[in-house]
Amino acid sequence: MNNEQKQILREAAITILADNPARAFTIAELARRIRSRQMADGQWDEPNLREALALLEGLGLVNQSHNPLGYDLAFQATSQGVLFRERNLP
Amino acid sequence: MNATSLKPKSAALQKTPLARLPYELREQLCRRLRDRHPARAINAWLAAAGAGPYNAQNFTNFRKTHYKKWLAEQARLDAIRDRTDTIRRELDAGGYSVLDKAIYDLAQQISDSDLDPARAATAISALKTAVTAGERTRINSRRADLAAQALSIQRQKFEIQSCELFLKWFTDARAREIAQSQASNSEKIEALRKTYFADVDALDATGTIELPK
Repeated sequence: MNNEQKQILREAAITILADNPARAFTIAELARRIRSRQMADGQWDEPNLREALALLEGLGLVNQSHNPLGYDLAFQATSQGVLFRERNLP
Repeated sequence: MNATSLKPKSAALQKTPLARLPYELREQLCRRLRDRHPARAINAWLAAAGAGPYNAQNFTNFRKTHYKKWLAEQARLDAIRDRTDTIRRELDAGGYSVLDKAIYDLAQQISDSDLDPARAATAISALKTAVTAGERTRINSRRADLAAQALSIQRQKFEIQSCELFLKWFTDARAREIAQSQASNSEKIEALRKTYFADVDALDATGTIELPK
């Protein structure tokens, strides 16, 4: 992916997470939503999305959410992430 | 390594059927292997998820290929997260917030580049300091201009008022008498003051109102 595609994927991820701040999404769930809404063009897959989420974590916009009873990994928007989406993304 | 290297290549799929599992199951499998779950327990979990069972050789092949790459990928993702966190902290220290879209865009561009994140963010903060200092200088200069203009207006006002007072007193017989007397200038000034500013002196003497000196 080029940098522009990466940025679009990041914005798609933060949009979905911030629009549903009360729940956490697994990578697969997030990917399904992004694809069904056609929020990111081009060829991308779950590892690309995982990388996008790593950057958003570093920026403090999302957090990892661990299920203590299982091994599935999910992500949830932080309050900063919700604020960022409200202020900046259509 | 990049993210797509985690996709199992078709030539290896025969040897690593575990690599054909859906993404989420592969990820969970890797986490369980990392935490040293025994094969029996993993097979039980996979069976509950509708997959497997797999034999020891399947697990061995998976560990040598996909799992090894997954570990390297986790290290890469940690590095991305740490790098971006460094950028965010440096920008925060410079008074910038990633809630500002322009700063967010800048932060991700720095993260996507080869720039040293701490140096790049520090340079941006230094730029802000320079711009702010320049702005402060411009504002101070403008304040000085306005003060000079105010002083000029005050001077003009004083000159006009002085001329008006002269014309007013020239028509006053008592003022002309004082001006044309043989007294010294300082005595004439004192006499004019007592005549025309007696009420102001009385007010000042009460001490209730502070007059400008």
